[in-house]
Amino acid sequence: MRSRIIGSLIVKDNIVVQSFGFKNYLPVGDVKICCENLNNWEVDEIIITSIDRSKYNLGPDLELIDEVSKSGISTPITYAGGIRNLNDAEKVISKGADRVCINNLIMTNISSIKDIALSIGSQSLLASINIIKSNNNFFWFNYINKNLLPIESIPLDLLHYVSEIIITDVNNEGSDDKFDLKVVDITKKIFKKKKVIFFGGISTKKKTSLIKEKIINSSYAIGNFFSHKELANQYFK
Amino acid sequence: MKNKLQFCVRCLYSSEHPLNITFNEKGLCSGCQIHEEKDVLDWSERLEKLKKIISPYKTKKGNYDCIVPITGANDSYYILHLVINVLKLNPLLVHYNSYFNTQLAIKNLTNLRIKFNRDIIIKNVNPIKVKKITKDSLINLRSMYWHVLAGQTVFPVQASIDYKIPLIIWGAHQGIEQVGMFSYTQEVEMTRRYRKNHDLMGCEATDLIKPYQNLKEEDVFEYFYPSFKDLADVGTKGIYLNNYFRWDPKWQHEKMIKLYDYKTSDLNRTFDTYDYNHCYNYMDIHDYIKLCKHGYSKVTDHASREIRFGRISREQGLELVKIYETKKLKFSKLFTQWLGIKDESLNYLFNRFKNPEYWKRTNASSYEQNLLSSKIKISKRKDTTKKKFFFIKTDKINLDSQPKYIIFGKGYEN
Repeated sequence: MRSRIIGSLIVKDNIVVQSFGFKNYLPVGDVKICCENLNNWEVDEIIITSIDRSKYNLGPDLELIDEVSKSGISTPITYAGGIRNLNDAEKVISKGADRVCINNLIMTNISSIKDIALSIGSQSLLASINIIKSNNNFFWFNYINKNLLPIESIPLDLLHYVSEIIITDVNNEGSDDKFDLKVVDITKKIFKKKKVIFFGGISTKKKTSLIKEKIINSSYAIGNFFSHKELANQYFK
Repeated sequence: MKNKLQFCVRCLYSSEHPLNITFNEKGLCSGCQIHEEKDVLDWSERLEKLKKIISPYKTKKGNYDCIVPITGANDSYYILHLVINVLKLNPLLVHYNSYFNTQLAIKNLTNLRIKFNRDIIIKNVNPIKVKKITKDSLINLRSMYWHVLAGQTVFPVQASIDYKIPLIIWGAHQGIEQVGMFSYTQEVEMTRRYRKNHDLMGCEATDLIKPYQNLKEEDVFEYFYPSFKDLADVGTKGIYLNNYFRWDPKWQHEKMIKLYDYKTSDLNRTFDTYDYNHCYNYMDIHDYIKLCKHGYSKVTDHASREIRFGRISREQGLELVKIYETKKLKFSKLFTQWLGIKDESLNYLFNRFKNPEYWKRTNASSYEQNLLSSKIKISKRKDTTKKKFFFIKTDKINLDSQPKYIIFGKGYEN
């Protein structure tokens, strides 16, 4: 089975940034042009994550989704960031995103997830879970208030309503291929056979192969590395 | 959603930088953060790494190992010095003729060819097409320099495909040096995405062709970027030397003056006499348009760089910016004559380009400046230790003759 390679664009203050461990950011450029480039490379999907929308309760960046979807790219777009309720999720889809990804909502409004799935279809809904390692233990990380929650507190009802889960290795996000394979083990234990997209410090084919040995139907989201080289997607073929 | 204006606590850059910029929790900009790597990285180790990267590209004696794009100024001498004398490569030099050449540009380029004794190919796009593109980009992209930026960044890539020489060696990645877009250790390479986004203001040659517009494919095809298939077939790879050498343009140029007799000159709108003396327009009209659109000009880039190297204080930098950024243009007449437009037309366009954030219109033809430099706050602690700071000037950009564009130039005798 061929693994899907997904381009991940982290958006902060209206621009794509390189993100390092959810703490440090370097500027990359225009969202539309980054999408156009990933589209030309024929990646399998593009995930746009606006990281400052939930933090400031701004709702999803509808203007951005509109602009990207009107730019004529054919690659499916998943949007994450600022989704507070069913209404926000529906607006994201109506503006042209193919799928919606929720993260903060899992912690703040779990009941709305079922409503969203019923409205837009669970095939169009993803959940994002951030995993962080601290004192040799792994936790579910709340990126807004920086709280560490027990892995066991992740609501597993979620699995019924979303089609895929994005698992991010927070410690190694933005690093040069340092994604921790233990995160895959934890994922397998919690989410069993659910389809998973791994993100955070994946920049070689070797790393994706190692993950695939553990979870065969996993996909990979590549962030910073895709802005470092021409045709960087070829490194995963 | 407009972001709140923020200035770096160390240099003179703001959140309005057109290449984009980020700030850490201490208010230090991404450019200053990455600049700190210059004093932390083990550059001899990085050179060894580079030698390993280029090793597969070394060909049998006599063949070209790589392509080196040159302008004659802007680090061209230093890049060649490193490529030939340090990395021991045989480069094919490629040069895009901007048609805005100063006499000094031709002199430096000729001297470079003599001193380094290498083959060069020069791209001369039909000047009629260049004028047509320049008129279009001036009006629609608010840039009189698009053709130069596009030509300089595409011609080396085309040459890589045409001559099947995969390795292109560039000097500094401006996104790194100005705004810290990448860490040096990420060893970022040339990409079409960066070129379109930042070098070409979001507009590739293909984007210039629009229905019912002036430019047709036959006008702009010389600037088309090679296809991904061609790039993949040849294995084209463009690397930047600033990822492997501690890049310091002032130090480098002074070394080149001593070693190769690189010539320098005063420039009207900056204190840096080294970087852009090859072109009548870069530090003149092009720079003024930057001031109109973005509220700051090249002298802020130069001052911020010198502040980061610790050669001047932030206060000194700001003083220099205020001296130079409002200097009147010297060579706009040359441009209007070359392009065949009236001076009034150019002034009209300048006014159209003026961003209301930085220029308040007071009547039909006058504006009150509200430039970014006027919004920078300097600490109340008075700076009493002005650092010694000078740039060497050896010549004038027009040498001893009247200023005029050198369309094709073979050379100048000493």
